[in-house]
Amino acid sequence: MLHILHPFYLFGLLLAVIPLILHLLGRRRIREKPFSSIYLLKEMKKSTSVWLRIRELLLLLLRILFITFIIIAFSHPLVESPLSFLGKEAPRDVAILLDVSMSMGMEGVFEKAKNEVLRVFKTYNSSDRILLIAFSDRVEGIEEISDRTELIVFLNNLKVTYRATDLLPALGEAEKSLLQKEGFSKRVYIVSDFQKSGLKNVQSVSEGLGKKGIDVYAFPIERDEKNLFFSGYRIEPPFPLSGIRLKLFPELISREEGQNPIELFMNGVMKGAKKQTASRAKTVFEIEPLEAGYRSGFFRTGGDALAMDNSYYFSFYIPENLNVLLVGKTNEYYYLANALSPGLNSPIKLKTIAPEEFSRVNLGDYDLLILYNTKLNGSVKVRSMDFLANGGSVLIVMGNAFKSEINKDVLGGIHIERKMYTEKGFFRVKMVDVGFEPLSDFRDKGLKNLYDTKFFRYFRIESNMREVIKCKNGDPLMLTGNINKGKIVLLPFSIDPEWTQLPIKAIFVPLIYKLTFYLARKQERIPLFNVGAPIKLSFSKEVKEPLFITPDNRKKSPIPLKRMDEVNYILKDIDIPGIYRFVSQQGETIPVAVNTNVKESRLDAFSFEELKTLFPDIKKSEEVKTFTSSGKKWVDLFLFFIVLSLMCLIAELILENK
Amino acid sequence: MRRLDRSYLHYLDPKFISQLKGLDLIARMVVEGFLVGLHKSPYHGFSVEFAEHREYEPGDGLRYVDWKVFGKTDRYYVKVFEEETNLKAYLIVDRSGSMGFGPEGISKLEYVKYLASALSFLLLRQKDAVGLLLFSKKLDSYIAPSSRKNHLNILLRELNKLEPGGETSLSTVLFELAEKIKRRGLIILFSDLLDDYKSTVKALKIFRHKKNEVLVFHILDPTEVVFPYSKDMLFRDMETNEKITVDPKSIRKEYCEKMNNLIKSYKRDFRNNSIDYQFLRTDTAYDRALLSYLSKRRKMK
Repeated sequence: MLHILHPFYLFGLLLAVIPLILHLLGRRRIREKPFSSIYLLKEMKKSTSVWLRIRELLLLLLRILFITFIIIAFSHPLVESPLSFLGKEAPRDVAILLDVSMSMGMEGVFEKAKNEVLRVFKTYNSSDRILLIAFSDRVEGIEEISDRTELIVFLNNLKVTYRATDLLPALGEAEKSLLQKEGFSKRVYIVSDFQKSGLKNVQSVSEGLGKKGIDVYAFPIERDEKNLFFSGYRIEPPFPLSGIRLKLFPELISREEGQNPIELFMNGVMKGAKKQTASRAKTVFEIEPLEAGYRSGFFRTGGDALAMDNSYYFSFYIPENLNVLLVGKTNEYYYLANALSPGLNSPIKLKTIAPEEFSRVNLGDYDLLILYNTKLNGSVKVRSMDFLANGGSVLIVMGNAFKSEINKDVLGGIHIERKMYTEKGFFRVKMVDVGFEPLSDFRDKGLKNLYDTKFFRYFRIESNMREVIKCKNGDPLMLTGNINKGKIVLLPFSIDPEWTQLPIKAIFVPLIYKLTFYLARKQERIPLFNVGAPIKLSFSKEVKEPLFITPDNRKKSPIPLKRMDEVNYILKDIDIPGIYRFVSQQGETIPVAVNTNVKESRLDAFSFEELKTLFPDIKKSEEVKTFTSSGKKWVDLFLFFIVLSLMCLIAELILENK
Repeated sequence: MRRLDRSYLHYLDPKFISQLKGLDLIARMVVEGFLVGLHKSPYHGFSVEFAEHREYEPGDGLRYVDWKVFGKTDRYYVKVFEEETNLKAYLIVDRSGSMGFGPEGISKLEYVKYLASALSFLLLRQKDAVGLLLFSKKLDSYIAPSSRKNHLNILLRELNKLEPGGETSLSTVLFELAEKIKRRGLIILFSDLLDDYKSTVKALKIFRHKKNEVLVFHILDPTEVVFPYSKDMLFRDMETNEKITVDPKSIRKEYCEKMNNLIKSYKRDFRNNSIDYQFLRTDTAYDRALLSYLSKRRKMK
């Protein structure tokens, strides 16, 4: 077998025609000369034209060979041969990609993978260049391996991570590294369980590898597809309140037969243990009423081969009482007031007053001011602005009291140009901005409910506020903005069945709750995070000397990032699941739950045939054995051809001087 | 005469001579130049010498009266010269195509023309009969030997119109000449001897066999001796028009060896057969040729 390391150089072989051209031109230039008698010349056999012609042809041949050999030498031809004296042994380049993602943590799987790496390593020589890249959803480690001891040390130090699989970064690194090498045999060996979720983006790199002369070999590590893991949890009521019993629903995905244990731990104490029989059966844990504040815990299961995803961490917040002042007429705010009065245990303490009483109320006692169909003029406007300036929030619900041309530029910088829009028929919601926090928790069903809601009447608003719900003709149905430190939400319609179906829709109460909690600033939302993604917590003001305490009790400082009216605290390199605690100088501790990636837990591997759709030229690991078992070495014939060219040169000089 | 000494030496230089016009002038100049040079040489001459005076007797030609003696003595004396032998010299000139070769100076044939003219002049001056034979493949022209005064003009005219051409067949011609020349004499051959070596020697041996004295002037161009070419050449034979492509660099050494061997062989074989041999390059001064003639002439005395 022959391989050319720099085939582009072979274009230089065209230079070999130069001696031929010079030869042909030179022949034409031989001058005729009269000579007295050529009989002496004829007597010399080698001086005859035949000899001369042969000599010339020999010279021509030697010159062509000289150029040819030189060019071939610099193109570095490699030949698979046991005759190593022909030249220097050509080094091969290989990048071994070893999967250390969580799915490899199944019993015995990682050991199998390491053994495959050792087996592959044996097939290479000391002159070969071997790069070992450990990867999960990132490059975990990268090492040039030159001997077996070094490899064993590296492998021993490797551990399976909690991270998900993403082959792309490691493949990119391998490609970059191999392209820098001037080797002739470039290979990527992927030792992995080929988790489907981790190979979605690789096509952008994998399809080009073949063209770049890089062969890809798959070393699939077989493993059990059965796994127990939690896909999430649910809490009832959805807005946990102090003083009422809570129900926690762990969502266990079971691929195991029989009964699977589930345990609930909160504050380090087991709160219950149950067994789930069927994969879709629901398990519920009821817990005693909790006081207001942040709460965290985890569910645990066990008995499967992959133990790393057997715990599911969660945290939630139980708010304290919220004092809400509703200004309006009793007969108008009926629906809204009902929504805000869930019962005795509700943290929302609602106070309703008529607009005339507004000037006599101490606004400092309230967290949220709701102006229901109340004209924003005179003292109402002044007091509302003061309230907003002090960090309070206002929900404005418009109604018949608002008329055209009145109440322009009602609140600070917010410009409201309004005109009531009524038409025969109705409008539905067209757009919901789920980036707006109170709307972000609504999923398919909730959103569908909102989209189905008919609006018969509303005020057409033109303002510089953010429009978070729009109807079909593009008019806003919910607007939000900030004035000073306060938040404001504007509903350009009355919460009344004559105006809209909203008060009789299922989403109405949750929506009002969400809006209330959001505006009252009492509920800190704690998003769920996954291993591998950074933790990001947002605060409306800067927190002094914040710290994260990791589940293994290490202290880490988050990176503050100021954005508009909030400060984000970001903690990167989240490698282990568990409860991370955000601690500030003010003494507040917020538990943040970090779980392993559900996609990684959902074990589903590519078969070799399926892999071919991603890597068109991928080969099986068995072919590696065939390749290396020949016992031959790849020899670089550079020096061999240089010697040949020098021999041609010497022969040419000798022949020329004869 | 002293004033002329040095300038006459020029006339022995072939290159200089080739610039002059008129063979008679050239012949005279060469010979004069040669003789002037001889005064300093060990050769004292043998030419038609003054022998003695005797009293005038009726019947003597008036042109032999020595008027200087009459002026001094008031008596008529005539000069008596020593009579020369009745030597017949045959100048045999090879006029084949190869003799026309002379890429960087005068051609071999021109060299021969001047040399033959000078020799004719010298020979006739000492009353020897001189004949001229021109040949290439066969005998082209034959002028019978004569020592008459106007014979020089005939010879020079013939030499003057001499042009190279034709192939050489030296041995054939020499055999033919050997038959033609009945009376023994001096055979002077001018040729490049670029012919079959053995038959050439064999043919000349016949002249010796017939008791003739033979003097061979082997004329070659310096180019033929040193073969100074460097680039590849396509040589055309001037006699046969045959062509050959040659890389001179590769064969120079061997060619020169062969040429030198040829010259040496001629020299050796001619000496063994009592044939005088003089190798001349066309850049050789004429005195060497004339000296070799004189040397030969002395031997014949």
